[in-house]
Amino acid sequence: MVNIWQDIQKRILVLDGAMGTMLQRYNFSEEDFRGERFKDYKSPLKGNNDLLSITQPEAIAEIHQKYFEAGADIVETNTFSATSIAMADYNMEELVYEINYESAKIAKQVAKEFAKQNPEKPRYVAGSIGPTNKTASLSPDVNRPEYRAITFEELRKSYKEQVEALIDGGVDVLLVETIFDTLNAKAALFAIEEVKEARNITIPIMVSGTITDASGRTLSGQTVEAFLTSISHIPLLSVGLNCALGADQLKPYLQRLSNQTEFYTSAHPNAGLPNAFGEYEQTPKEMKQLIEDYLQDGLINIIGGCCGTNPEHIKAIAEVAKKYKPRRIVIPA
Amino acid sequence: MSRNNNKYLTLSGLEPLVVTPESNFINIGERTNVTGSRKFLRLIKEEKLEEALDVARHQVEGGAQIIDVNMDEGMLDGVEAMTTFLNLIASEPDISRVPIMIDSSKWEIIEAGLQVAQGKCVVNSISLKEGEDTFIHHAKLVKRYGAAVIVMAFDEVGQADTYQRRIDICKRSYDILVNEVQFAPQDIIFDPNIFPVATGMDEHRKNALDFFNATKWIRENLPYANVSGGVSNVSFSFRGNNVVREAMHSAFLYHAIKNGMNLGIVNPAMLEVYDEIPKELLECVEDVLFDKRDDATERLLDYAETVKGQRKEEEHIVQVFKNGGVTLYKNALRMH
Repeated sequence: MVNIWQDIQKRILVLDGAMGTMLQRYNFSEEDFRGERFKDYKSPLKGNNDLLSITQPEAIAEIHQKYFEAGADIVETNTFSATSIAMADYNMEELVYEINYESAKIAKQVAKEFAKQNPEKPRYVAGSIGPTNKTASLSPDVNRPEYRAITFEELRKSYKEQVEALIDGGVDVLLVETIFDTLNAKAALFAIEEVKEARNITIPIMVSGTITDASGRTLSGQTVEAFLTSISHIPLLSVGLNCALGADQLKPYLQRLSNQTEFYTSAHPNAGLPNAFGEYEQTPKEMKQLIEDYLQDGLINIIGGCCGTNPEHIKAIAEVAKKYKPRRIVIPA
Repeated sequence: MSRNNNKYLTLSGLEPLVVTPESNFINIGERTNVTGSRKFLRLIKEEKLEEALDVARHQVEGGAQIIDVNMDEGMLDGVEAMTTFLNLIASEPDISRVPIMIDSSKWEIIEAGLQVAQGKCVVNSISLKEGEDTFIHHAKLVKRYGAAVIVMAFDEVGQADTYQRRIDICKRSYDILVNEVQFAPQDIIFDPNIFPVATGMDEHRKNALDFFNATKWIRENLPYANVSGGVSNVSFSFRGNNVVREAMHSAFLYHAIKNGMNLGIVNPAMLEVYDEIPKELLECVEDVLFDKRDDATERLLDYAETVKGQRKEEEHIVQVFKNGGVTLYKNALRMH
């Protein structure tokens, strides 16, 4: 479990690609989402991807396998929306622990099989902790700027439940990702520290923010440097950026992040920007070239894909990542 | 290149603020403080929040690099007032670009502030006043919320009022924070107590000098720690005489910066430009600050009589803090 600290010094680690993009290929129906267990459930469940860890676990395991086969060192659990806050959309707050626990178990099981086949290459599972669907530092109501739809305390409790379950399920790393509001992320980090202290454990933490557009800021308005300053009070494995942008648009921000932090860095960009139909068209070859640009500049320690990426993208990224040395953390004079 | 490694105090609002030796002096705005501003208190009490936000905005426009927010007033629900005001600030990018200093003597108000600020704030303040257990408990939480902290030179016995007490308490606080709480030393800001001088009381004669010396000691002996203070206290005994007060603030600040004070709560409208203080007044003020003569206080009082009731022109004073920092303190900056 602690090996990741050693591995990351030796090579660029490859993170997996999108889960949602892969799940679309299965074309699961409302019935498939429900499975036997939730066939009479009161709310519509189609679209609750995290629930598939319970109702379609083989599909989730298969996706993890494909990413490991493609060369990923780390796969993310299928738990991006598995907090009581996000699950409220489906009236499934009660299932949060189980979804996280089962998701972690599935991914860990697949990781163990791969590690067994090739003990030279340990495989890791990162517990995916998404931003939830509410923002703690932005008002959803323009006429009431002081109003907040969620509080720090509510976020902290919700994240704590997710973190407990992910750790119980055996994840090696916690990944707080797609941070569009830094206050949400600070609540997640607060919860993680509480769990670490109560259990007297350490666990590597990855943090990944989202720069929404060419403004170069998070949705909650922070610059890359302000974001970094706001989350650097916790010892992290890595800090990085993901989602919203393609690899080329992300690069200048990654450069700034890499210049400013002595944590390891990560990036999992989208497969370009979506077209008019919301589809991602960047090919694995195109994405690989853009990623190679990061590697030449020594910006990265962990690299993967976000929306629109699939195992072909990860395969291409893994191939090129092998050729380069990881970013060195520069200790300034 | 890396900020963490250089161990500079780094804060953030929507934008970062890095306190390096080159930033010289970080000016903390004090007008959004109900204990220090009657106008702000009235606006908060009357729920004129738009106007209260204007107070914050003017400070940032006037060069405040951090804004201090304090809602400690018996008639207010401090937790609610702090939460609401910080939430409002968060929706104003021209204000929230700077870091917030969450100022309260009540822990629950500080915590309420920490829970609504996405940036890296400063907590103002914690101290050993209620003993080590409370101090450690609060410090751990400040760290977990990701804030820096002002530590008052205050212990179980009381406020530090001599040089020795100041450095002893700061050293003890530092050791606990760094060794027991693993608090980042660059995130510690000491406030070694700025007290009034020229009060007529003998025991107050060394108040400024002790502050300067304690500041110097802290900066030399407690690695990476910062020093801050509320400057207007020093001239408390000259309330009503702005000419003298402004000269005192200015001279005090000049020497405090030279001794290593790198942040401070200063009202730019109550500050004379150091180089423009009349020579005679400056001499009287510095005699008091450094306790140079037995009759220093009397001489300053005599001088004060001659300028009583004079009004200052507002315009040039505001210039002091334009463009951030004390741009007109060129000499002080170079010497520091």
